[in-house]
Amino acid sequence: MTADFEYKCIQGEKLPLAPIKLTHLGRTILTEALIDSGSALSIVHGEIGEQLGLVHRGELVKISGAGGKETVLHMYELDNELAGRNFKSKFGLPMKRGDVPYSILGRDGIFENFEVKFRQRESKFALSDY
Amino acid sequence: MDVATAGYSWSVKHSSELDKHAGKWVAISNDGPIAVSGTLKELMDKKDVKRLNPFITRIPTKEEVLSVLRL
Repeated sequence: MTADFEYKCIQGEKLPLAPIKLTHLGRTILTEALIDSGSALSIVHGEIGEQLGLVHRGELVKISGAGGKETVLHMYELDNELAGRNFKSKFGLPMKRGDVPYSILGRDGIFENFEVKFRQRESKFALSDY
Repeated sequence: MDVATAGYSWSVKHSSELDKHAGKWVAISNDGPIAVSGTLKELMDKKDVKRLNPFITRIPTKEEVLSVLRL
């Protein structure tokens, strides 16, 4: 199965944001996240993590962006519904609120579950089952 | 199409209308925004948001969008 999405234009910039349902301990939020092939890990926005009841007690991981900025994350396993599929994957919750402006879907978890195809010229992307 | 997907679809089609809410959280149903708030907690506590379980998004500021593009 393949799900097609359009890039979303935010503040004049087109970004690949996919709708995702995140669930933890019975709490669910229907939101969106940036598909980011450059990120090894998936990251949940701090306020979404708090609403899901994540409490900064998970395994600690420190990551660095290509620009050198370091972010410390607590890792959690969340239930996801994305492109019509339900699965579990790990998300990092930033220690500092505001460190990450979006939730991010990185290679671990999302790219392991889907073949991701960017069609930049058409401003579209597609998620297909492996 | 469930409510959440409908809200996401609305947000893609009408994304430029959401730019004015930069820095805020917005709850969107299939007909458009139903609530706007400065924090996600405030947004989730609103009666319509609890009742409809809509699509939730935070509209980033221009600076935040550029910070992601610069990574």
